Amino acid sequence: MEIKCADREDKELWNRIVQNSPHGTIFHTWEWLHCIEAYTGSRLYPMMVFNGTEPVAVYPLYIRHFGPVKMAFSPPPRCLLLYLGPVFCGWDELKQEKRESLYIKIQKEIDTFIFSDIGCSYVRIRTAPGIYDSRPLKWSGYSVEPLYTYRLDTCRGIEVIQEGCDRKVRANVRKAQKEGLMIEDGTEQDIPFILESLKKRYEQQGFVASDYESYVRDLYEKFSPDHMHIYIATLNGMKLSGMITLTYNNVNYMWLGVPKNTRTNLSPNDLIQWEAINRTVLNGTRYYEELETGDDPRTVRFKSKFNPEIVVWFSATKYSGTAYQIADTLRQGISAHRL
Amino acid sequence: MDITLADDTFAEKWNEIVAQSPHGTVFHRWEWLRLAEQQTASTLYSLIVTKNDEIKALYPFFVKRNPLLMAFSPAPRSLLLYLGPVIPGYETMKQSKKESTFSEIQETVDTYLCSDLGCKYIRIRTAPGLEDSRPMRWAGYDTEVLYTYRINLSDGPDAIWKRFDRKLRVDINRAIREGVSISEGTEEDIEYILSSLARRYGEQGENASDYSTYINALCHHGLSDNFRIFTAKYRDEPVGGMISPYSDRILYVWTGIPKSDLKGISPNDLVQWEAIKWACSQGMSWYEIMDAGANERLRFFKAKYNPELSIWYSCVKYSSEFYRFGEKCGRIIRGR
Repeated sequence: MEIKCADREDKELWNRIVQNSPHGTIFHTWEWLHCIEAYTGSRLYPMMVFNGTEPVAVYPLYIRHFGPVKMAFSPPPRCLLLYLGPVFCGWDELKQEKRESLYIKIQKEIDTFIFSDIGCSYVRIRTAPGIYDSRPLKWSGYSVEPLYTYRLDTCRGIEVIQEGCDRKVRANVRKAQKEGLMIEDGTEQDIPFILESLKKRYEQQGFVASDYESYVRDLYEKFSPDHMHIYIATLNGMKLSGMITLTYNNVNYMWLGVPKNTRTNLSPNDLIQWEAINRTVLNGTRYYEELETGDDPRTVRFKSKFNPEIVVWFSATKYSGTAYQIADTLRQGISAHRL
Repeated sequence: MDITLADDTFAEKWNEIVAQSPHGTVFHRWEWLRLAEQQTASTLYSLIVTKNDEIKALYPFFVKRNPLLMAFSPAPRSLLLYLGPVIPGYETMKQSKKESTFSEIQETVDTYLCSDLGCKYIRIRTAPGLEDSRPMRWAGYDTEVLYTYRINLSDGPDAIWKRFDRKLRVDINRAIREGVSISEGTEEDIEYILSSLARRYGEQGENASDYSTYINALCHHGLSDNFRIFTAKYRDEPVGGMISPYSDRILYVWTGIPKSDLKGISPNDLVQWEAIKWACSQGMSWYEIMDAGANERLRFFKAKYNPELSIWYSCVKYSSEFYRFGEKCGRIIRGR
């Protein structure tokens, strides 16, 4: 097995592999990966793994310097992505034993690259939903944490989906429609409104919010209208809420949404989601995904009321040595005021 | 939610609820829990969690002083991988109901174990089928993901055979050609399997005689209708076999499969193939090759049957952050 860092000439092959894999996401596309690099300043290493001349996986990595320490990420922090990780070719057609041995071999190559060739002290890989097996990471020395996103299977049909929603959601949607709340298609001009609302919310919760405007605008330019869509909720011409969705590989992702609105007793977010679900069904896209980690029970409650299914994904971390691991554990312990 | 403790008079109802739940297992059966209690010298707390007199969960725990008071589900050294709660109707609940019910159950159980009983440590290993570990995490548990292997029997033996690794098919055919035969085992065969295992446990530094009494008690007294013994014979001599518990839905590869001394013949591959066919003939849905996914060495032996993976979780909670932090540092230093 051999690995190489892909260059511009590999772009088409890379995107074809991502497109053909059921766990390939829009975030894995060549264009998105380069937007992340430009925005975050982390260096992208788009690794491709070959068995002979046959490509078997693509594995995007980002290397970041923190003083003298190098760290590898997939995806890097603060780029509005939950997961990324490897995309395997023909994964679903492989027999179980083949899948395991392939993943183990690929991970070994990648780890050698990260730790020996680049000299990283730490790596964090967050694999995409659809890769159900996290053991190859564990066997390679990673600490693995299960996380969960929500997917609604639209093959149930809109009536069944509607019946499955919590009663309160159905009432909220009806009420919002009755009171004249409208859902309109947004444009690039609505990006600042959505990001500003998100930023305020983060700051209220005590987080440092980054400025994502140039990044999201860049992505909008590349992915709209086919893969990116903006929804805006208005009442009497006033913007109340908004959401940016992504469509790729049979999944419609609720990517960025305006948090809870206190300016009205109506629920514009419920109506926006309902509209997006309807559109997912109409377009024949199989899944509607409410991107989620499952970490925060508060956001989970908002999302689970549409009665989606959970899909597991994994966050895996590894250190080059015990000293780093102990230092990091101490840091986490102290920062969480746990001692 | 409220908690009451089940006693032997509740056994029938307990087993009925376990049998009706897709994530209820043969290991949750009352008779098994009682024998595991004896085996592990712990105290069984069979919790019934109710809300307005309706049963929301069955939650068996084994409590032990070691030297701190600890609660386990299942107990260590009971030859059980997982146990945990059985939540009636879980599979048909809406997502938000699943989350709120499981969370409320866990909160009630934790209060009982930590505040009422005074446990300092809890380890719960939930059964496959409870795919969501977040209620455990939200309740303060550290959660580890583990895997077992399951073969879906719905397509029947022919389709399953075609999906096997090619070398496995060759090995099975060779065992048949060489005259290995598989039959339902007797009491003597249990002894053979246990003594072979004893040898292997001995090699690994464990005392297997501890388990013989337990396994015999399970097969003969407690759950004789839920066990099938498969024995491989070659020239009238036993050369392999396994002791398999089963429910209406699943046959488990649980204990047995001692390494064969026969050169070039794999009697245990044939044992497994015959067991798969038997499980199909009984209308079962799954054949489970029990595993934790922790040991890479055992991977190929199990994966060659081309099973599916099924997730289960090991969840640990400490009554104080002091214990938790100490254990975490200890684990890093030990390199695990």
